Amino acid sequence: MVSIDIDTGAELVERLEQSKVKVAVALWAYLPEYGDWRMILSSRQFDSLDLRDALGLLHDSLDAAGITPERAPLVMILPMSDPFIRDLRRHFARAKSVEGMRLGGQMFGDRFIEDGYVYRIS
Amino acid sequence: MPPRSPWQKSRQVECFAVGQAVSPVVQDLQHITSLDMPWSSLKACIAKTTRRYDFPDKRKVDSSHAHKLRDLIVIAGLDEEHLEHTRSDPDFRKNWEIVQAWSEESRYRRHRPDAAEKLLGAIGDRRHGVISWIKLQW
Repeated sequence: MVSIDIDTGAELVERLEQSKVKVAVALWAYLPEYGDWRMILSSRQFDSLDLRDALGLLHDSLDAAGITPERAPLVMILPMSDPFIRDLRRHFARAKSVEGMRLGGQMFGDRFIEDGYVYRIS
Repeated sequence: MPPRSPWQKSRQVECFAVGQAVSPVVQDLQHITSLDMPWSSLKACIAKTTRRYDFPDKRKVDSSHAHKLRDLIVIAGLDEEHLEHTRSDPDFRKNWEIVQAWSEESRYRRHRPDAAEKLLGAIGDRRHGVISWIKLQW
């Protein structure tokens, strides 16, 4: 993973929070079932919206952060009820700080994470 | 209720191709075929770039066996057109992301029925769907 991915992810999370989206989980994850890096986001605000509206909100935040489609990370919005999200929160939600934490070689919920870089788990 | 025709029965196949518990929505041969359409359609675009008597570039051939939409777009030489369309059509951009969130392997995991319906909608939307755009590139 190149450093610009980390910066872009941080910009996106910051912009979402400026848009009053309380991001519960945000991380870059390399999941073997996809074979690439994906930015995983989860928030109760996303859950309250239809997926298409949640993507609209995400795109607005990307645009506001000046992250053009060619720079945009490959994002997956997962519901808060997703076993992967629930297990991550169960493990780390009470940790003092998880920003910058690396994950890897672990199973969370029903997904194996090969490598990961965490921004938020709360 | 009239008896089902053999054709109807054959369409109501076991959903082995997309996992056992996706939903009745995709327990239909037509839908299973639809699920693979973005990937196979892009491969058709790549195949079209090969002319008769061409000796294909091995790297291009190997990489075209990939199943990542982003990679296939680049191999098909459609990255510029794709970016332009993504910028100009927000609904297409959403549809693209919905499709991109799936992968060859992730199709086999359990998905909620509404997620499967969203995928089918994103693929088949007549005006802003992924297939509609890819068809324009054929």
